Amino acid sequence: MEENQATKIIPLNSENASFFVKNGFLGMKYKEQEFSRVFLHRIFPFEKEWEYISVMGEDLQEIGIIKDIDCFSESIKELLTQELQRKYYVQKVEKIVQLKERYGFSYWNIITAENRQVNFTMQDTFRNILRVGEDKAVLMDVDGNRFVIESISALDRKSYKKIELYL
Amino acid sequence: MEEKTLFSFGYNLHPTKPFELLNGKVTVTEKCLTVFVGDEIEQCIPLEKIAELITNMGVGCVFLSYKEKSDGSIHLICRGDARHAKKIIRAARDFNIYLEDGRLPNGQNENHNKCKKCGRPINSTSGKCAACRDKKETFKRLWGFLSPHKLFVFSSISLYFIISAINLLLPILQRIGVDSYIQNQNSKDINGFILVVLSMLALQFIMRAITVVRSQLLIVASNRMLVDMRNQLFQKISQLSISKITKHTAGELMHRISNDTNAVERFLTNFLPGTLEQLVVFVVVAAYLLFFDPMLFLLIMIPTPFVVLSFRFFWHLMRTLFHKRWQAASKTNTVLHDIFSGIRVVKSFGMEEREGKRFDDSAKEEKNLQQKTDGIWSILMPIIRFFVGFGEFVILFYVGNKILDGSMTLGEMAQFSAYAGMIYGPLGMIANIPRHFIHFMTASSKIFEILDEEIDVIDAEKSVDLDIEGNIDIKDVSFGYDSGNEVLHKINLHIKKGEFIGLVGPSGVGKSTLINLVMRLYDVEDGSITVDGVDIRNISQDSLRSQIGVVLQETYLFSGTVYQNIAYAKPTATMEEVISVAKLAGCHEFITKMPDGYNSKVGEKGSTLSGGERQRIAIARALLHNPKILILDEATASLDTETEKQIQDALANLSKERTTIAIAHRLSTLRNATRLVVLDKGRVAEVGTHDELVARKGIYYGLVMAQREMSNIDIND
Repeated sequence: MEENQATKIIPLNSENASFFVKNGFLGMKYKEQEFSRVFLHRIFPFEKEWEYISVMGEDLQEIGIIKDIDCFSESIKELLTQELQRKYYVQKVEKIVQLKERYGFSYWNIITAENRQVNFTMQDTFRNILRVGEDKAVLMDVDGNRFVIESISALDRKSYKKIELYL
Repeated sequence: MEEKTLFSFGYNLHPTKPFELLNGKVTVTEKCLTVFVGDEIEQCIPLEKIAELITNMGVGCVFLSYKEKSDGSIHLICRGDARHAKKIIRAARDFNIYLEDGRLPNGQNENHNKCKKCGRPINSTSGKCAACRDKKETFKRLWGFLSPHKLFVFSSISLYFIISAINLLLPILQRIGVDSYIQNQNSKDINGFILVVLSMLALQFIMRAITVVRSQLLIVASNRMLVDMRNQLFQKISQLSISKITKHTAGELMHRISNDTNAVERFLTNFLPGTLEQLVVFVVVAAYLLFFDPMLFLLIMIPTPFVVLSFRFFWHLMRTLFHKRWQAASKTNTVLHDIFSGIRVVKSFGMEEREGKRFDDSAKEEKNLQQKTDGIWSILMPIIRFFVGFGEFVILFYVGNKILDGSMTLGEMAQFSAYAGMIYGPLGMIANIPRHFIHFMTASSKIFEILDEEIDVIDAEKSVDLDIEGNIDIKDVSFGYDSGNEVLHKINLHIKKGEFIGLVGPSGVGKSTLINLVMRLYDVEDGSITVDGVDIRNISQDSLRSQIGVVLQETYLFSGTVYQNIAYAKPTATMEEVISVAKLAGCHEFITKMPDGYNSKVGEKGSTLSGGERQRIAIARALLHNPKILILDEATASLDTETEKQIQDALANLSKERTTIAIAHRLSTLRNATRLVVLDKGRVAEVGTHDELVARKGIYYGLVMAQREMSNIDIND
């Protein structure tokens, strides 16, 4: 049976693609073509952070999909990791220092994986805590910043007691 | 001389190192754009080199870059988190306007959404910062619910005090009866004894009568308050924009309107007055006992600290469980609503079992939480009752000793025992305070969440009711549903009264968004939309929408008859008017053929209508109030070509006096359009008649050719 071009997934790997940085942006060489700027999109941002990465050109048309960034050399993998991390600016919550709720707003004081103390505000807290599977939660503040608790069960007891109400 | 800074904005993320923070700033002068990191200049870009500033949204951050004039290359300038995003995007837009027109839009450094005191976000509806709001305000707001019914509530409290006074009198009469007549062997005064007994009987009768009146007062107050609260909540929800309403599920909103208001009403009209009453009785009886026998009073009070400590111990757990129970109940509601709303999809995919399991899981979760809270309660209550019962034994021992040594009479014992019961009554109530209070706080916070929700589309202070003619002017309109993702960019369109405008373009280019803006379901971010020269933000929403008729692709018919559905927008319509628009919309014949004609039930419990039939009823509904502006969003998409043609021709005849904006992917639908507007990537790409656009061989030509090719394939197949 002839493969349907519309449903065909074009895999990008170390054999057909390589990446570079130019003017602060990620570019890509794919076969004979050079794209001065490409955009990376996580297809399953909550479940597969480093797998199933869609690569789009400046016209926002998909060039192909990286099934796993591990298939690239260390240097390219480093570039892709950096690009994804700076596009998906999601801070990891290590500890919840304080959480107060008043009149539909909740005020958070957390410590991130970088050991930074961060304050943020959430409105309609229940709605803006997204459970991912059994043990992960993504928080979205009023400005649109995102925070992730990678493992709810790994939180210290005090932190858990503070967030328990919303889970 | 130092250059004048036109505007500046901050950023806080390193452009390339993902998690590195910076204290950055960008300033724009008439000559250059300077990027600072702290006080150090990172780069200085002459304005003459910049073609435009470009923003790209990341997730939780935004990238700002510039396009170089000479070669079109793009260079990264800075990166900011979502807190900085709005300012960066706004600055980029203003900068581009400055480059293009040499003017700087107003309101560059607006910061109205942060609290001046603590810097946290404010609720823009109330204009107040939730963190800085006085706690008394909660009580004021709750009082706001109660105050219209205060006469009933306070009357019932006053009546309760009379009941309590009688309750206090009864043990005194009992003591007199026992000590003066039953125990007193020398007393022969049978009349006196009968008088005491009759007095007790009369007091009991009066007390019961007052109790009935009091209950009636509370029933009236609680029902009125419930209706008021539900209306207030419903009004608020209906004032919210569509985007805000759709953030909540229908099941959840129903839960808030029905269950939460119920919980708040029960607390405010039953539990709160009841607790106040009991507290007063407690204080009066305690003072009496303290005055007559301090030792007895202390013995009675022994269980109190244990009761309070038991509750303190369980407080956090109970609060969490009640919140979780609320969530679980709301989720069950949502799941049910979801399944029943999509029952056709469920059945057609044969997913009854899976959906059944989904409901079962959700119901089980609710049941487990219910069991857990009830289980804890069932442990807690016996503990409390044990302490209270233990206190009673101590009192019995103390009083018994006093009777034996002759320092207390049997009548006094009966009186003190009755008073001890009155002390333990309020203590029992204290035992229930946390449970009711937690339930009440959870429910009220859910109600306030909705009441505090920001109304994003509001009538201007001096909004007018306009008799619309139908001239629409769309000037420099830009809009995005969330900041950074601009859906429409600088749209300019002048639509004359009576024109038929066809909006054309691929999916996702902003066609529906544009008509949403014309209907003012959202407010434009930049630019303006005027109707007959008046900005729509200055026309009252009622006036504007009552003169706009809308038919959407997805039609919704309410539960009721066909007649009621057509007459929905004009309940005063005569039968002739309804029949006339039904004929126009091509639905008169099939309605008449139905056994119940125009009285046929449709909607949730109604008969089954085909998609096309429902669509035609919706068209009739939109035409009935003779709108000055008619909006058709894929309105005839589910009709066959022949019926569609009939309706289109009928509409064309009628639309001479009416401005029509129609969206259709099937281009033949727009054959009567006076002008076609082609949107592409949020911009107006082409405007003209069908012939003009085909001759231009642009986007429209491509769409026509693609559709022609498709119909050829269909024919050949």
